[in-house]
Amino acid sequence: MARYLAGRLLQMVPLLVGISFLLFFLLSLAPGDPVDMFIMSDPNVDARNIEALKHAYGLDQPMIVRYVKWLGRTVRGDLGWSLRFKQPVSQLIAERLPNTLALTMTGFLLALMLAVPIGIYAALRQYSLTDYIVSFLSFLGFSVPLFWFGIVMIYIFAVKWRLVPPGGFQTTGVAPGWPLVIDRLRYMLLPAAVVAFYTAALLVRYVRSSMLEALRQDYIRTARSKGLRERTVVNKHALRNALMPLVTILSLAIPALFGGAPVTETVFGWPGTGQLLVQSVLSGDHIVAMAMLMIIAVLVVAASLAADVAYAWLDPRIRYE
Amino acid sequence: MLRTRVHGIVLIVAALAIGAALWPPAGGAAPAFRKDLVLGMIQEPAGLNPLTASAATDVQFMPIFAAYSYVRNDRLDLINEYVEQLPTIANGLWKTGPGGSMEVTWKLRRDLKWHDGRPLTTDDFRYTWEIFKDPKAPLGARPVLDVITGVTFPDPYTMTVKYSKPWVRANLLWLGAFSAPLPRHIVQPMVQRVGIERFAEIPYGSDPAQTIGAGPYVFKSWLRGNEMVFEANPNYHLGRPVLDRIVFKFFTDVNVMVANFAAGRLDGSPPNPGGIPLAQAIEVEDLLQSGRLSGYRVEYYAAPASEAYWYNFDNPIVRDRRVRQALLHAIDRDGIAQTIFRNKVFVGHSYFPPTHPSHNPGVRKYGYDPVRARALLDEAGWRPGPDGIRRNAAGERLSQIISAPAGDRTRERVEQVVQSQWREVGADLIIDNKPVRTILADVWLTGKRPPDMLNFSHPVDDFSDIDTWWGSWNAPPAGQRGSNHSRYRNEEWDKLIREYEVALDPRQRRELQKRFQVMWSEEVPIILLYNFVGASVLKEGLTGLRPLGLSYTPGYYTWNTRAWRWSR
Repeated sequence: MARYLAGRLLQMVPLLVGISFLLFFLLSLAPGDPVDMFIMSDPNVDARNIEALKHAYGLDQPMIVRYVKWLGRTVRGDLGWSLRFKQPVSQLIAERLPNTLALTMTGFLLALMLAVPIGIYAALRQYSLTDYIVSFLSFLGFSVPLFWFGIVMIYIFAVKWRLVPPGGFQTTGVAPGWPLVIDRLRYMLLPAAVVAFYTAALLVRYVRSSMLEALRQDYIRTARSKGLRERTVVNKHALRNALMPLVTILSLAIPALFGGAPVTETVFGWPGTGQLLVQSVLSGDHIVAMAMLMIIAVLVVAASLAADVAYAWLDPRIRYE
Repeated sequence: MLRTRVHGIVLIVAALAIGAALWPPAGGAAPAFRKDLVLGMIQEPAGLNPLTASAATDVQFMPIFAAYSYVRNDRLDLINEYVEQLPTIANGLWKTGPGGSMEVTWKLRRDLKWHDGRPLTTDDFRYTWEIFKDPKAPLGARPVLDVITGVTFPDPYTMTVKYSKPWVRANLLWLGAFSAPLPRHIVQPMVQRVGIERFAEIPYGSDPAQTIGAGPYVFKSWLRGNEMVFEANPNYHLGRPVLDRIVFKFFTDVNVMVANFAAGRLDGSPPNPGGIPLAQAIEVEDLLQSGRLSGYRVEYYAAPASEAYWYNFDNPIVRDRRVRQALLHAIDRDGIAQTIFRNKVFVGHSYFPPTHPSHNPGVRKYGYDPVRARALLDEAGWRPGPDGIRRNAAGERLSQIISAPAGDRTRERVEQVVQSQWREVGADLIIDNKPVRTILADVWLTGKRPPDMLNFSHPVDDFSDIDTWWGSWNAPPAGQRGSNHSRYRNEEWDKLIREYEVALDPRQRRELQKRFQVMWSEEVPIILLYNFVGASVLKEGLTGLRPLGLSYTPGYYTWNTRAWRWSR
């Protein structure tokens, strides 16, 4: 196992370098950079100034040179400086990451709390009216455009019923400590509900189908023939095995927790990493976009390794050599 | 059993407590004269360092907290609250010498203080000037450095700038150079830490805790992506502002901002740049008229910008003036204003909009006249072809490609109207809209792939536009960037613009601007569709927020934050 882990970790290095080069290359194809945007707002800037500014920020160099410099800096832990936000990139991400984690983890936990029992229930009553309703809502959940769903939620819960604030992050001037925590929770309710609804809609499908498959297995028949109670059969035999495939789904969801929910954060004005990614891409601030995308890439690679390891731990039949 | 019940009660009590905590406070009536203000914005500044901030939204925020020089009042007079007198030729602080040389003296008020209580003196200006003129500082255009021969600081309150040539903008910016001074005691240590080459990276302007000004409000906090807060400066030399606090809330989705109005959580939104777009202001007005929203009013202002199609004069088809005049006659601009904009915008005939002091109403006008358009095209040698599109003697089709930012539904609708109306006179309009960044980078900035026509809005400024937009020296060869985007060249215009550039007398400049409009209207080098109108949505009882009807200047709507107040 240790050898396997060491091998996988070593493989991650060229993989991540390859990903970083590809991302850097693709971003460099996009027209414009923050200096262009800066120039755009000042019609008096002449060619000499453009050259000077681009030189100052190293944007006049060939893509490969910029990439090597970026890689060197990143390896040393320096993610660079954002021209758009006028802040170090690491500081930008560090400011927004807690907001994103609070939102996505809440949404994710809510989704799990909803999806697992509903998925099991739907599987146990396959082709019943409840199953059809669950399936309908589940398909609806991941088919409806998130920005539209978010605006509808705002209209119903914030505008019509005035139960929660219509987007934003906190009330200005609220006292620090518990009042601030509670205030932010109020702002988080709606976007977290949107994240939860969308995620639960996806998870329900997995739980239901996984549970259905488990219920058809021989060991379930054996358990029932032993005279075990149905609750024991479902909870101890079927569910444990049915949740195995969820490990992959859940581990691959970890990068999404850090990457944020770009659409939801944008619609609700939640200052998280997802919103940051959207803003940096739109403003041509490639250095921020690159840092964000690489963090997500590292997490995806690490999460897939973690999933493989978790499999071996959960299923004694799996051995890595 | 008892244990289960106890657990149940505890759970219910906990749920009620959380519910009560999370429940919004009852919508009680606001106190009779509120002292705070919450404005919604759809654009967020990048930073508030006066030497690096240049985006239209950024510079709207600067006069709130900084000792900003380039601000006008609603009579469009330059105002500078930090000097004893603004240097002018009339008051003798702006002197002209032989060969066009000039000497401009700035006399600071003696009661100026930074927000931390330290006096603001010429020492801060000297430091800012040193940064500004340093070639290693990564700043934008500094053309004034070519004409300034020296700056002296004889005492803590006096500064004199010497120019080798006339410079009409000499009293617009501090020392003719920068918009606001930097506090030396704060900024110098920051620059020493990172080096002048990385001046743009200092936290001044980004971190409120390290950013002070001398303006009416203190830059209190900035939660990026969410809100920016300014609090009244109790020591402002002209008196404490009326409001205690101004909060700018940022929205990345304009529909959510409208939802915030519907929920009554915003006190208003100023016009663009940065504030509510016209289309959404009309939407809010609809809500008000239908009774679904109350307590707000929508105000419209002549905005300092015009919407136009910009030809590319590298294309020989449009070099014939008759063709350009015909294509303008072929568009029912009044109809567009009426049907698409509900008459909120007004059709532009003159280069400067009617609110501009130099507006010349006596210029040639091009009303909707398809008959005249056809006659002009016939005269220019364009005959109808088999597909209804005209062709010239060389067999070229009378066709233009238009590029606007993709996804801009309003512009797309206008394009479709123009397309069908041009077809009636035998001209073809091919719509090829592109992502805004492609237009910015490929077309606007580098001129790599200039299409026939570009659709963009054009700020009309009192100072910077005739020469910037129309001087032939700003029309570069294909593939290079220049602010004369249509690449129109006219020797007669150049002569007038050169005269304008050195005309120090404002009356003379006005006259030249009026003459320019006559020439411009004869030539019609762009298709001027309409003059923009900005709109703001304001809660009833809020007074003083009066955007200027002109001048794409900093402080377009923040020039008088000191006077913003609630009347009830």
